[in-house]
Order: sequence, then C-alpha cells, then structure tokens
Amino acid sequence: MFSRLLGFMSADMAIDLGTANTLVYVKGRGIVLDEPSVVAIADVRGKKQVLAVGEEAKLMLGRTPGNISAIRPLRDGVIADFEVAEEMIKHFIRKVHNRRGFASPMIIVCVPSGSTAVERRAIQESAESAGARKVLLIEEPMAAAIGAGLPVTEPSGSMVVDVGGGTTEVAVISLGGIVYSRSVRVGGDKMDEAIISYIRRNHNLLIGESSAEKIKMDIGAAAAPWDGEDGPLRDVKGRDLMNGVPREVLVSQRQIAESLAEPVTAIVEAVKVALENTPPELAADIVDKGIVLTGGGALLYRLDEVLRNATGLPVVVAEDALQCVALGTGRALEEMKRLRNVLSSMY
Amino acid sequence: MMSSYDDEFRTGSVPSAARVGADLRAARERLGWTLADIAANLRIRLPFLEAIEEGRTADLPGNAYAVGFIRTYAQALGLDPDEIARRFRAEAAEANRKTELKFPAPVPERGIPAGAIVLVGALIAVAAYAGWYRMSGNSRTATPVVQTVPERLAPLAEKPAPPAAVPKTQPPAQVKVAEGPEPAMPVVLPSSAAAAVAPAALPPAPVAAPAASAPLFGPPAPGTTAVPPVAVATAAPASVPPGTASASATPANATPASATVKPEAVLGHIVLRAKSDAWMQVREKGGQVIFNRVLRAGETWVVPAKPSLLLTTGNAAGTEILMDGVSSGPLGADGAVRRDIPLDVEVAKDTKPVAVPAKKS
Repeated sequence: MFSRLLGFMSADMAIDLGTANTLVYVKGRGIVLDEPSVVAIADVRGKKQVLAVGEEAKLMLGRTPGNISAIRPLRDGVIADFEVAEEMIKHFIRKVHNRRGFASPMIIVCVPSGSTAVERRAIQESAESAGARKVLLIEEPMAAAIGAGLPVTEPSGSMVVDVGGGTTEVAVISLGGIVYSRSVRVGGDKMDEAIISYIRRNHNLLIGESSAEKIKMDIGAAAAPWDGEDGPLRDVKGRDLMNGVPREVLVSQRQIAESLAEPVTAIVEAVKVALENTPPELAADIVDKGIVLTGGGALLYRLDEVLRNATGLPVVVAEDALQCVALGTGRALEEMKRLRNVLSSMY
Repeated sequence: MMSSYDDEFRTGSVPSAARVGADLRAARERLGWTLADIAANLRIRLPFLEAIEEGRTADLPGNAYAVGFIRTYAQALGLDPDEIARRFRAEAAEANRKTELKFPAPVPERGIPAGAIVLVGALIAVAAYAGWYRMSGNSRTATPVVQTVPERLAPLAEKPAPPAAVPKTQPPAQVKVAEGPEPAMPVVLPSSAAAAVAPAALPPAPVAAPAASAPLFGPPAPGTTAVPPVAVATAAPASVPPGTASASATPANATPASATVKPEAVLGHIVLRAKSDAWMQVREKGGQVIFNRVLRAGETWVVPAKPSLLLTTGNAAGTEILMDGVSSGPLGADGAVRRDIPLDVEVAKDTKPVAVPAKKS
C-alpha cells in the first residue's frame, strides 16, 4: 500500500547493468543515462563513502591514492562487489529522480543468460536494497534481440550475439523464448586484457586498462588488414618493464588484431557451438536472415566479417549496438503486460 | 521466404525505397562489382540484394534484418551506412514500423469469457437491488391521493350503484356508501354530502364528513368508532346476497346513528375548509403525509384526531380552519403560502388567533 504510493512518485526504470557501462532507461523518457560502471569509494576515518560514480569515477580508475579506491562492481556480467553495486544503483536511481529522496521505482534489470541463480539473486537483491519497490529480471540476449527490433515472437529463428563488456551472449530466439543460449565470459574486458598482455610481452611495456580500452576503440580490429599492411598506428603510453621508466611505443592495427585473436576466436567458437546446437528448422531460418550483432563488442572493426567468414552466414551489426540491451529492457518496461513472459523474478 | 511477417510486409505495395536501392546499385556498378560478388562476399542471399536494389522492401525478411543488410551492403560499398539506413527509413514507410511483439498465449480453458461473467454478475446485482427496493419500498410510498369525482361526473359514478343496491327502500345514503372509492374519501363533495346527509336531516357538510371517513383515519370520537367501519365494509357486497335485508339495514341504521353522534364527534375537532381552491398538505411531525391535494372551493376535510399535525397551504386566504365549527378566518393573503401550521387541538385552540398573523412565512 505504502510502496504503491511511493511508486506513484517514482519513474520506473530499466537498467542495463553492464560490466563496462550502465545504461538507464526511464519509462516514457527513453535512455537518460549512460555511464561507466565505476564507483570511487573514499575511506574517511574508517568509514567508506562514495566519492564519485560513473564518468567521474572512471577517470580515477588506476589513478587513486591509498584512501580512495575506484571499483568496478561488476565482473563478467555479474556482481563482484555487492555493496558497491548497491551504491551505484542507488546513485543512478537518485540521479534519475533528481535527488528526490523517497523515490521507489520499479526496476527491470538484465542478467546474463549464463548467470547462476545465486548471481541473479545478488543482482536482484542489490537493486532492491538500493531502494527499488519491485525488481524484475530479463535475460540479456532477449533484451538485446528486442532492442535490435528482431521479430522475437515469430515462429522463426533469430540469432543474436551480444558482445558485452564482460560476457558474450549467443542465443537463438523463437516464439518469444530462448531456444538455445550460450554465455562465454569473453568480452570487451578480455580484449583489453589481451591487448595489455600483448604489449607487455612484445614491447615490455605495462599499460593500464583505460589505455588499452582506448587503443581498442581507436584501432582495434578483429582481423588483420588485407594484403599485409600494418593499418593505422597509435601511440600507447605506459611503464617500461625493463628499466621502470614511463615510455611510449607505436602499435599498429595489425598488432592489435593479432593480440585480439584469442578473444575473437572464443567468440567465434561460441557462435559456432550455438549453431551446432540449433534445431534444424531454426538453423534454416538463420541461413536466410543471419546473425545480428549487438553490444559494444559488436563495434570492433571487422568482427562481423570474421564471423561471416567463419560461419558462412550473413552477419549484420544492429543499429545502436551499444544501446540494444537497454532499449530492449526499456521496451519490456513500457510494454510490461505484453512482454511479461520474458520477465522473471528470483522470488 | 515463408515466414508470416513477410505477408505483413507485402501490404506495402509500391516499392518505396527504390531511390536508396538505385544509389546502392550505382555505387556498386561504379566499383565494377556484380551482385553475385557482393552476395558471395557478404553472404547475403542474392534475392535479398536484388530486392534492396529494386526497392522491394516487402521481399526482405523483417524490418531489423532489412536495415542490417542495407547497412552492411552500404559499408561494403564504402558508403556511410548510417546515412543510407536513415534514407532507407525515410523512404520506406514499413521500415519505420516497430516490430510487433505478440507472444503466443495459451488458449483460455474456460468457455465463458471473463467479461460475460462480470456483465451477468452486474445484471444480477442490479436485479437484486431493484427487487429489494420494490419489496421494501411499499412503506415509503406517499399516501395515495384519490381524486374526488368531479361534480359533472358524479351522476356517472353513482350510476353503477343503483343495481348494486337491490333493496329499493334504501335511502340515498346507502348509494353513497356503496360508491367504492367514495367512502375512502375523507373529503365530502358539497353536492354528494348534501345527498348523503339530507335524509338524515343533519347539519351541513363538515359534520357529515367524519361519519363516513373517520374509520380510515383512526379513532374519531368514541361513540362513532364501532359502527361506521362495519357500514362501509359490508354495504357494497352485502347488498347483493339474500341476506340483504338485515345487512342493508345496518348502514341504514348506522347512518342516522352516527349522524346523531356527530355533534359530539365534531367537538374538539378541526376541520379544514376551502373558501377558494387551495392546495393543502397535512403531515405528521415525523414527516408522514396523510393528506395532500387541492381542495375546491367549499370543500372541507376533517382533520383526524392525531397529535402534532402540521398544515401547509398554498393559498392562505382560501383556507379556513374550523375549530369546533368556529372559523379562524383566512390564514393570510391571497395566494400566500403558509407552512407548518400546527393543527393540535390544544395548540390550535390556544394559538390560533395569535398564530395566524404571527406565522407568516
């Protein structure tokens, strides 16, 4: 009764709680927030306090003194630090409600399809303790497919590959349900790590996560350029491992593509395994319509081409690939009655 | 393509995205590629590429896929995929349509739809209420007002009576009693009153009235109570069967009997008299209306002996209150409305001369 009253004053939200970025969709307003999933916590006389959340906190990542820690509360698509995740959700709720204190919205959060019941429960509980009146969960590949505008309720197979920050979700969807799904813990983060270790190995230079991410976004590619060229070049700065001084090296797209081979192969393998497990009728549909790539990883240069060559299927990148999951979750929020089949709760 | 959304898409008849398709074709031809090359390279099936170039959006699978193919194709040709997709959306109206999501719902097991149950339930509730209202509403209905038989119809009303009144020896009073609704009338028409009273050689109308009407309005003066009810009840039916002689004798006897008592009965009674046409209402203090109609000029109505009765009149000048035969005089100006004049015997006695001017509303 009381919670319903509070709900009257709050805007219902759909949250794409991603490893790298958190997007918030507010009912009737669309996507209002797109911030990195980073929280900076300050230790003030033994008491932990939130210093910054989002973009501001991301700048602190890897640059903090002893009493401040910039934390990414999600790893591999699931909550790694419960309390910090709760603080982050709390911050987003407040931000959406213009810091009105007593907002108690209904929240739809997406979870990786491969997450365990414990992990789902953790996400649901952290959203609840952050002040949500009611929390519903939606599986990420379903949200991505809805967000990409695929006809998921048709009796026809659609394959969606959502390459997120922490996980890659491959799913075959038909009649409004997931026929087969596979989640591998490879995503943008693994690509960053691959770049870091490649540069450390080949250039004896240690670079930070943010630098690696920047390189990936600039010149990252899933496949080396054609006809033996090196492709575009970028400076990358870090600490020399040999003599410990800061240094800068020049890396080429070919090198980065080489470094990304491993995570890209893992994604390709996941897609192949999913295709192997797809019932033949749905496989026939997928031959015609192909695979839709969503998520930030889908923007990796030539990833669609690599997948196309590996599978022999048409592969297209969805429009607004970064926002697909948030848009799909938001649509589930807007059309709650019609799409309640895809929503679940751990209770 | 066999899937159902293709049918949906075919409704868009005219190839509306032809210009984007033509641009794509021009770009492809400039690069010197054939459609088959593109199809092999992008793995998009040749019929779909042809449909894109010819602007046949209906032949493309689904909305999201069509846009995806066009973006991929544009990118392969070195065009800006976002710009081409935007133009495609602008030109092909179907591409803007949001994918309809209709989840397969199980067929409801119950035959009766919920709406019908609700409707039937509502009807039953309404019927139950109406029934209850009707059953319990009897006590609430206002006192039925029976109009007097107008003077010109009086002969007609009296006509059926003579055959009923078999014994010819009956005085006109008998006829009057047998008139069905007439006894119920507390008001005695001047003419019929005269008819009823004349043989009994009684004082004028106001005095005759209580004899006929008293039983209906509670006990009048003690002497009259027992006889008149019998007279009224038995007169009509009793006149036909063989035992008429004795039965009809009763009213005949009764009438003079009551007539003789009348002077006493009238004592302590209040009679309303209309000098000109006036609407009058008499009700108990509790609110129950016991008299409510227009008194014609010259008509009278005997107020039953009940405590705390209130009179409301629509024409104060035309209304007279007769207290034991003594008139109070007009109650007010012509056409003036006076409300809640107490008709208590004691109160009236005491207050009347004072109340008349004082109670101007």
